[in-house]
Amino acid sequence: MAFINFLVEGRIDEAVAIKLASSAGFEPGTCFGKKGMSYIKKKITGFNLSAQGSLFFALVDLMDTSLTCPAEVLSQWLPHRNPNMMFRVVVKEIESWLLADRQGIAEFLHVNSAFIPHAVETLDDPKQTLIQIARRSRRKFIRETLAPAAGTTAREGILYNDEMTRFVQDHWNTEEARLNSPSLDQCIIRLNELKGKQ
Amino acid sequence: MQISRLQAKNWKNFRKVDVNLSYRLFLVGPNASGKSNFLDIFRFLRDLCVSGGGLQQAVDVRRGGVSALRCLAARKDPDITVDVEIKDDRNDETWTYHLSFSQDRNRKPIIRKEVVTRNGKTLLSRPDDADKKDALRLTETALEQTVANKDFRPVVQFFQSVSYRHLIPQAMRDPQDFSSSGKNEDDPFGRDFLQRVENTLERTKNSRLNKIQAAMKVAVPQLEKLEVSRDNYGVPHLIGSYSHWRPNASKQTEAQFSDGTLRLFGLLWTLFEGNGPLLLEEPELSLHSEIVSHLPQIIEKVLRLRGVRRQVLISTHAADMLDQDSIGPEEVLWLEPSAEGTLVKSPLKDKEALLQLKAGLTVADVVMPKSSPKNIDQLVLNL
Repeated sequence: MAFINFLVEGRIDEAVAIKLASSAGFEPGTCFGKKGMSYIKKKITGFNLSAQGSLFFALVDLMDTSLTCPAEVLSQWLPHRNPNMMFRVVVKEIESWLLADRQGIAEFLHVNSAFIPHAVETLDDPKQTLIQIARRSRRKFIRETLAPAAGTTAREGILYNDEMTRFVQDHWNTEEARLNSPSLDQCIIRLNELKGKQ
Repeated sequence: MQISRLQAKNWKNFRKVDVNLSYRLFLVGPNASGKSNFLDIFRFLRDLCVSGGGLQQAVDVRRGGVSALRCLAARKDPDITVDVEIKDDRNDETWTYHLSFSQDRNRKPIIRKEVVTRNGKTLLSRPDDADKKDALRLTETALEQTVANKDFRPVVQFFQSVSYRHLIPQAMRDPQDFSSSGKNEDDPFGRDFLQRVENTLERTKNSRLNKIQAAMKVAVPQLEKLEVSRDNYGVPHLIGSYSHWRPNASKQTEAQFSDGTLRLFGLLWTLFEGNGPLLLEEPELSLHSEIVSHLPQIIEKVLRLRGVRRQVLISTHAADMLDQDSIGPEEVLWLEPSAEGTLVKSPLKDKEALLQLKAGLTVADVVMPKSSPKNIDQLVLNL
């Protein structure tokens, strides 16, 4: 059994990484990080150095890095990548990958699928797009918990993380999603290649 | 002196433990993984040796008997075993103490084996001839008998010097609201805490209070002065003078202190007290994360100030405290629950963790994720 560890920004990313790795046939190991982008930026060299005996799958949102293309992130953050360290950049944000399963997310949010954009990787702010869509849900629960309540300046609803994690675990169809997101498609291809080498 | 190695079998939720212990040790693990049970081994050794203690007291009265103490995963070989190695750097000596016990027909604890060695030489090995003649002797350890422990008195004194602290601010404020353990001396939860402070020799007390006050001023800047005095009824109070906009500082007692102020005071006082191994249970409680991240340094500084080399074992959930390069892999153990009892793991024996620590990551980066609860998502109730 090939174990793989994770280095991610947060809980939704963790669920995504685990789902992708499991689908490729890996056994999920320990999940490191979960302290945002700056933590990964600061620690990636250390984790990269240590990835001799074990496989790593790191996932970073392009939008959070304030760089413009994935290759740039790789060259600046990790110029000497260990072959065991799979470092993938999400274009632009993990929500792009979730929205890419258009049918799945529409059903989960209880909205008409026509509300879900097609070119998810070109969205300016995928998370806000997702939250705006959630506001149009037919379910009160979704409207009240995924979008911030009126009167707060919070950026997301109080159960946003929980619910989106649940979406990833139980509903997100990666085969559908990869058709709409080249960066997700590339990520799945690379994961399968890495699995093939084990 | 320092406990340098601990082996145990069938102790509470541990089927088997074999770990080396450094002078400073951080113990991490999910809730209910057994951090307190691990520390309890050292309290048990103390309970064997203190006056009013002994095997029967330590097992039956304090821990609910052998069957409550024995690991559920214990099957064949059901004896409970505790085995420690003690290094005495000053005298260049190594002691070991081994105790295994089970229960007799009346469910009373009975010794199967008790061995003491010094520098590899056996000083005591039970059961001996006398035990064979008189089986009742096996209900008492040699540690608890002044006559029997003559040759290894330093070990007894060392075990007696173990102190456990888990101060609860509410118990410090209103001791009468919390039922006493029956024994008033050395209560780990702080019921007799202010009494102990007040009973300290005047000079020592004032010197400690001055040092603690200076240290605490960093955390609580408005705190001007700390003193302990008795009220008209003879009840000791901790009194702090706080500065404010009025010309004279206002006085507050422990009843008005914040939980954080009381905990920090309790922690600092504890560090000034005693020389033996100190067991601290989650010292980060109620404290600001910046202070938490400085706790290892605070502990080191107080011990240096006192010129005391003292083993400190800390159970913690605080990543802030472990996020520093000055904590080495040998100073951490993490607990991992499994079907066969909780496993006690060291980064030194985990290839992956060791590589990560060597690559410049901290214990907080590496060990906290490993010791985080599995299936945390199940905490998310499905609505």
